[in-house]
Amino acid sequence: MTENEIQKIENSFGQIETLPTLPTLAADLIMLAENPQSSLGDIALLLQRDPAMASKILKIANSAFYGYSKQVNNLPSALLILGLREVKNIVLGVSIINLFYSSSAKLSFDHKKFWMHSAGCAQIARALAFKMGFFEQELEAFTVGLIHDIGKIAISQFQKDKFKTIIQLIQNDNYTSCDAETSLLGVNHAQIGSWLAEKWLFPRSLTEAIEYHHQPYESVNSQKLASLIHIADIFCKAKDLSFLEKFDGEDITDNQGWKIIQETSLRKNFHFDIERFTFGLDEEIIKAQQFINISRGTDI
Amino acid sequence: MITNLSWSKQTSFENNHECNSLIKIRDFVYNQSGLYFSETKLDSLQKKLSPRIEALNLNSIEEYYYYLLYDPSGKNETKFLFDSLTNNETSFFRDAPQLKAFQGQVLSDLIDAKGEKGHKSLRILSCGCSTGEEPYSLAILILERLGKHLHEWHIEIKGADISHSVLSTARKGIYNQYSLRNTSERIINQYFTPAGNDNFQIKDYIRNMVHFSYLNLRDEASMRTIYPADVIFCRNVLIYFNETSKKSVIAKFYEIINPGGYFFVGPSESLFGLSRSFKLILFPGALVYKKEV
Repeated sequence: MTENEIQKIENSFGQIETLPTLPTLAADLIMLAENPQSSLGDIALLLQRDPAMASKILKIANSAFYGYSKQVNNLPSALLILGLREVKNIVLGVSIINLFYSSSAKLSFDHKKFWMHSAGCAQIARALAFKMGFFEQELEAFTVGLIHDIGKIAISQFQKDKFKTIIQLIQNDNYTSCDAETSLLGVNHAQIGSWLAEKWLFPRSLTEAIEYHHQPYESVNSQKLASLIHIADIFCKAKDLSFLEKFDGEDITDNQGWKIIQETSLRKNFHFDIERFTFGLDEEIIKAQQFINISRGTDI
Repeated sequence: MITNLSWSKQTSFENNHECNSLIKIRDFVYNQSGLYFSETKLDSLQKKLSPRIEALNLNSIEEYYYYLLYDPSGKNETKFLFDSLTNNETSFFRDAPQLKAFQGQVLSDLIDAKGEKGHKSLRILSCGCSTGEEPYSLAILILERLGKHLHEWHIEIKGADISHSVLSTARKGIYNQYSLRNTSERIINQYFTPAGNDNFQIKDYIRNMVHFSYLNLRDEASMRTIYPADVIFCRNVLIYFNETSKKSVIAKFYEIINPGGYFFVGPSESLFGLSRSFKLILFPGALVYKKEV
């Protein structure tokens, strides 16, 4: 496929007017967070515009998600304790889930499974980043994990018939999701997802990680982040949280993405206990479920 | 709806010491036995420990931890500890995700590889098979997987245990409802016959697929009696061994597993720190070790 043809497809997805846009609050917060001049006070002011969001931030701050022993009672202390980047992470996560959850419920796939996979992947990618000593990538890993498959929603929404065929190819003919999508659309969900994220003005490091989450070694600028998502995706499947993908078992130590993570790990001579990490993923998955529930306001 | 997930909020620990001690015991158990209790299973760990703590007349988990570590009589305690952490009971089709991985990808892989070579034989070893539920389950899974091609294959399933009395029960193949609690009605109707008193006996053609024999994993002479196998199941057995014997048993298993063969340990057991010979394969809901071709 030529550059031109890909451009055409990109335009066809990009021009869909009903494509959701990120709420102003989240968009403003991304801008503020990128700006080194902004203070926690600016952020607090911004968040006060949306009391529902503010209350969700507090709920998440007080949940097992962070496991703080002290109660976080108000927004300023939440900002102080969690910090700007963490709050941005929560607002983005909550906004993304709110934005897509209800609309995805009307689509022709198991949307609960989709979100459990996405949030599970987000949480596992974050835990993996932490384990590997990639503290800079922890929050980005969470955000990218949450939206890495968002292209699948776009396809199911705007290419309904082809989406059905894609599912059949995956389920009956052993296609990978990317191969099935490329054979019908000329592009795959990872590319479409990265276009969407570009539209939302996500930083380049994030959009590139989304684009290459199936081939992290092909990424130029976001190999590490793309690898984290790629491996988290496999751990998700090992926890039976896959979404529209066949999984016949995998030795991750043979995986290129795993090699990238290992080689760039900041913890030298660290022998990663994959078994223990896998056993501990149940907790990460519960946290992921909790994040979805609080975001949607269905926690009680 | 999952609420109030923080484990420490769920359980009724009086103080952080108890919580920390429990985590220390968890880590001790993992390092000693490879058996892992994740945060979500800590309350189950606590429940399993409490009868032992009471029996020893200790007052807290913390005291038990120190007893385990520093008390002279605590040396023998690990055996009791591991005993109370695993339920020795067994049942047909226990740990479904592992068996699904076995019947699906593992068997497909072996069938393909062996079919290519024209070596249509499969040898499975079930170590610590107790009263036979595991090897018979494996026989049923293989039979269902091969279907009409079964006769083309030479299948050998061996159940091994250190206790002669469980082996003689296994050979009879008679089970009560409790052993069959994870077994579908279809499977019961197809592979079992009623044996009175709500018991069921496994049909002869399955019974004949499995042979039982005595095996002491700690005894070299006994270990020499086992033949190469394509798959070894040794679930929740190694946790009773010390590190040295564990390593030697695993090394022996590695030796007798055919290249391309698989090794199953219990669903929360790990070979980390014990062997780096096997490759770890992640399957949906299950970890399985493989000997490379």
